[in-house]
Amino acid sequence: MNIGKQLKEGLVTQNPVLVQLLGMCSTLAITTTISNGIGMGVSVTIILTLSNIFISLLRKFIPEQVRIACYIVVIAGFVTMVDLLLQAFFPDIAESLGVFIPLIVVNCIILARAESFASKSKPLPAAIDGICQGLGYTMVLLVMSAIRELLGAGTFNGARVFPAEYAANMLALPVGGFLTLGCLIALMQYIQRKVKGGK
Amino acid sequence: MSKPKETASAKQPAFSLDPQYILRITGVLLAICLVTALLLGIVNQITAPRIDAIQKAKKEAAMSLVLPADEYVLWEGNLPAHVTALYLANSGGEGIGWVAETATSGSQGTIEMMVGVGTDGKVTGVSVVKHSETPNIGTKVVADQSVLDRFTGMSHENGEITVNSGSNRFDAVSGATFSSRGVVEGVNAALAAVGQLS
Repeated sequence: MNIGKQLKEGLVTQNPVLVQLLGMCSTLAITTTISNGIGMGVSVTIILTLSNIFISLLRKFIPEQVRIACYIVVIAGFVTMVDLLLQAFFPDIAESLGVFIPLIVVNCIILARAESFASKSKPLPAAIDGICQGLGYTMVLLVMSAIRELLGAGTFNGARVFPAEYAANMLALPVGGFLTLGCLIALMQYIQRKVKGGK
Repeated sequence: MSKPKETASAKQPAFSLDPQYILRITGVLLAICLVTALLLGIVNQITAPRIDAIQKAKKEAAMSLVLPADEYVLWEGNLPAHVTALYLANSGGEGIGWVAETATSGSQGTIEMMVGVGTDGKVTGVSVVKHSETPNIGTKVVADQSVLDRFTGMSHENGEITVNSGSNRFDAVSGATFSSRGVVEGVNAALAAVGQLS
C-alpha cells in the first residue's frame, strides 16, 4: 500500500481526466460555474470511493462472466442514493447538476476504476484509490470551471469580477469547454515531459 | 462442478454451460440486485417526504410570486396543450385570478413556468420553475426576472402574443430566440386556458 504513489497517480501521472481521458462528457458539460464543479467533483468522489470499496469486498463473490453487470448495479445503486440524498438535503446543488447526477452511472471513471483497480485490490487500497482518483477529477473540474466562469461570465464563484459586457460568452458554451480542456491537457503533457526530461 | 469442467475445458475454456455454474452466476446477480433494491427502498423512504415538501414549497413560492393569494385551488377540467395544471387563486374568499402551470420546449429542454392571469384576462406575472437553457444565453430570458416581467399586463385581446412581429408582440432577447419563443408559448397557453373558461 502506497498512499503517496496513489495520490500522485490520481492527481498527476494517471489523472482520470487529463491523462486517462475518462469522464469527458460530464467534465465538458457541467464546468460552467465553480459551484457546479465542486458539487459534481464531490459527488463523483463519494460514489467512486463507495463503489470501489464494495466492488473490492465483492471481488471474490462476483463471477467473471457477469462482473460488468454486477458493477453497474452497485454503481447505479450508489448514484441513485446520492441523487435522492442531494435532492432532499441540498436541493440547490441537485438542481444545478440536473441530469448529470444520474449520468454518473455511465461515467467511465467509475467503471474503469472498478474494472482495473478495485476488482483486483483489497478494500483499503481500493478506497484510497477512489479518493485519489476522485480528487484528481475534482481538481480538474475546479480549474476548468474557474477558468470558464471567470472568463466566460466575469464572475468568480458568483461574485462579479468584471462587467458581463466584457466576458467571452463563448467559453461558457460547449466549444469553450473543449478549448479549455484541450489547453489543460496540453499543459499537463508539457509539464510531465519537462519533469521527465529534467531527471 | 469439477467433473464437467474437465471434459468441457479442453474444447471450450472461455465459457461453461454447466447448469450449476449458470445458476450460480444468476444467483449472485440476483442477490446483488435484491440487496441494492432493498437499500434504495430504505433511502427512498427517508428522502421522499423531504423531496415532496421541497418541490411543493418551490411551487407555492412561484405561485405567490406571479399572483399573491391566500389559497390556490386545483381546477379539474380539460386543459389546452402545454398547460399541466390550472389553479384558481382565492383571496378573502373571492377568486382574484388564475395561476397556470405550463411546460413548453425551449432551446435545450422543457421550460416549466407559473403564469398568473387576473380576472381581467391580463397576465399578472411569470415565473420559471425549472429549465435547462444554456447558461449565459437562454438564461438571459428564463433566469432574468426583468425580462419575464415584460409579460405583465399582456392579454389575448388583440390575438396571441407573437415573437418579434404583429401588434401583440414580444421582443425576443437577441441570441436567445428559441428560449424566448418557449416562454411566449407558455404564456399563450396559460392565457388560452383561462380564456376557454370564461
